[in-house]
Amino acid sequence: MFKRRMSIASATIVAVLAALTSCSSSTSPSADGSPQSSSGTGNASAPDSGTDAVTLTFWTLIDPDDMTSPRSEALRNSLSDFAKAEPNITIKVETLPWPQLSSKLLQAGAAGDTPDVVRLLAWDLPKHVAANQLMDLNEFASDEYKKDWLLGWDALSFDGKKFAVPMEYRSPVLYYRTDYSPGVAPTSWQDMVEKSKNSSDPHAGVMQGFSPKDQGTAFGEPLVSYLRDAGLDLFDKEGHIAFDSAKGYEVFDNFANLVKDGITPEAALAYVYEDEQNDIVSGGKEYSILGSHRIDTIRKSAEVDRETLAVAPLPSMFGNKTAPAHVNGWTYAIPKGTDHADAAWKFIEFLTTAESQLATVKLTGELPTRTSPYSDPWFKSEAGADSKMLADWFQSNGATVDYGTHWVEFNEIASNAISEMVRNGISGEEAVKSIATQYNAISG
Amino acid sequence: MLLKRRRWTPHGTAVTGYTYLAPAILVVILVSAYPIALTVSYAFRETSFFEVGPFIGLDNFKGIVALPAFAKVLAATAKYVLGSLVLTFVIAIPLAVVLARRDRFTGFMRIVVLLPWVSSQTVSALLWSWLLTPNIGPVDEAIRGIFGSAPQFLADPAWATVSVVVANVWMGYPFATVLLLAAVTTIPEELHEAIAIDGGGWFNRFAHVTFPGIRNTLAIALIMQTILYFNMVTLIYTMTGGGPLTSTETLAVQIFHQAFDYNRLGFAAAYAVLALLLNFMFAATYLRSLSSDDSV
Repeated sequence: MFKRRMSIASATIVAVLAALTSCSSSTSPSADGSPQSSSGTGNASAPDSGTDAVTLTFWTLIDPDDMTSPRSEALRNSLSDFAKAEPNITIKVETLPWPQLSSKLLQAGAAGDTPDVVRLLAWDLPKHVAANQLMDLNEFASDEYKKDWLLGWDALSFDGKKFAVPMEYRSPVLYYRTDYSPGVAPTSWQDMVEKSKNSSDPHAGVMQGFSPKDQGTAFGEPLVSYLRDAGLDLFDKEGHIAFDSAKGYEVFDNFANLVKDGITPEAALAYVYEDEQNDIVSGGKEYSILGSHRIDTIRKSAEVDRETLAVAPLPSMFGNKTAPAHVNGWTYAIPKGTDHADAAWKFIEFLTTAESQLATVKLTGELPTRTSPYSDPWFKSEAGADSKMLADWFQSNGATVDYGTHWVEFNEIASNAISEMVRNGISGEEAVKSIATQYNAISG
Repeated sequence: MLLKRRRWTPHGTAVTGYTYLAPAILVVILVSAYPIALTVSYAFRETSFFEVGPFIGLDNFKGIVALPAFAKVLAATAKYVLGSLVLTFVIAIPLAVVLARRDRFTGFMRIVVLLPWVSSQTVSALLWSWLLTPNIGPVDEAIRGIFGSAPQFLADPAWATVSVVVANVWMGYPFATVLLLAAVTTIPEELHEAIAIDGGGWFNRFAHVTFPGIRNTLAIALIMQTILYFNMVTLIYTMTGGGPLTSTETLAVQIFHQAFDYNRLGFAAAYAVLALLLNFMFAATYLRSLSSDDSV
């Protein structure tokens, strides 16, 4: 009896241990869109060769199984075309929520279990560069590949090293309703404020979110444009705040005054990107400041055409001109933990050809980062007109930014500073100095 | 055939018992003890993103105490936990007493009361965010309709604290109610009748019969809810992200921010050790209150 009980207990323990220590299986969409179970990372131990079958793990926010999203359709098309071009390389897509891509990659790097290709936001790159997690793509890119980039190959470089290839460009832009009064784009920030104050339209005003939630991007993105508009950098060479000056104070005063003067509702202090988008879709304010990558989505959701909901470059705070574009967006990178760097590069190369980007922009509105797609007749059509206008703006008056490794904290501190200005009446100067004190303590 | 009767020694019984418990103990070690030990270790080490470096003593603790937000975090935590506890039990205790009555609506009411409990924190947070959204949310509209204007529930620091507490209580009162209801139903009816015969009203019945009868369960529920509210992240993070102006950034939310938004593992671990010590204090308080009660 005792022996029998011990046998049962031992078998139970062994079964539990086996269950706990067995490889975890996860279901992820495969290249053909059907879910498939995968075991481990799929990285083979043998080095790449031209004929060996390879499976690459690709981390992205896009779910290729989503039949409603244009970006999912674009990804499905790319995966299908790549499978035909490179039949020996299989892509295993793993979809993660966009705010988690960066932190998951950091964790994966520490655990030594990274994907082969990852989609990262430009402002997350400094963290991964500092964590020494990404491969220098200059080792893979040919001289021919390095040509034909809208902002040049050296954009988004770190000390001459290129750790990610930009796959799409975006910037905060001005959305405005032509069916509300005054119905025209302003010539400057001050013009926009005056038009809002003087209009009797119930929709008069400017929608701009200031919540520190969701990484504070609602305010952080346009803030960069307007600090550049003031001729200021965000950070100096030591990584400290570089806009502690009169013009920097003026930028913050201008934003805070939107709320103080009732042009922007007080509720916007708690608005994130999605809240702003919902406001535009529901026919909110005459003017709104939001990312250019949402144009098509917003027009579809609001059921309006481009004549009714138009977009324009951001109006400058310092004269009758446009503010600089804060050019940012998604990039592709190869983590150092990959065993298939050559195959990973082939995949990135394929996704970032001029042809691929042209096909993508027609489907999704994501702006190409290559120059040559913009000579396609599509950009002269009504469907492509906004994209061409934005690309011209990016090229003539846009720049990428070194975000530092504490971008999320910077956005939160800056967003809170605006709330302090509105609620507690501190000035732009006090706000900027407070930001400098807090941020410089973090950046060291 | 003679049946062989095996004599079980206490030692043999214990070995068998532990053998059957071994898988559960292993799981507890893997998912609780080991992560806690790692976290405590990280709190005393230098970290860079998710890489763990050398031992640095109390530097991480000094760092978090030196942060301007530290006192504010503790204050936000106290407001959130105490506010939620008071409101939860102010609702749960009388509700449990009412639901203990047996009438034709009791069964239906018990189901209705439990409904908020089945929602996840994320769903509850999104629901309340929508309810309180200016110009769109039903709560905001109703208040505007009555008073002409409504507070900025999620944009004003004071009101944001109230909002997360209300959302938390809405989600949490069913659990406390169910625990207390179970305790109330075990109180002998004769005790209520005795008070009634002596001329005591509802207050005397509650003070001298109901409350003593549910006191132990109330203590357990209080401690469980305290620890739950103290460690809650999802509801607050989804509703306010810890804002506005860090007014709702509790200790648990700060731990999440440090670890996953700011990638400062050492600071997050130091905060987590602090939270662990505070949780131990709550548990010790519970054990002391139970052991000092002669009726236990």
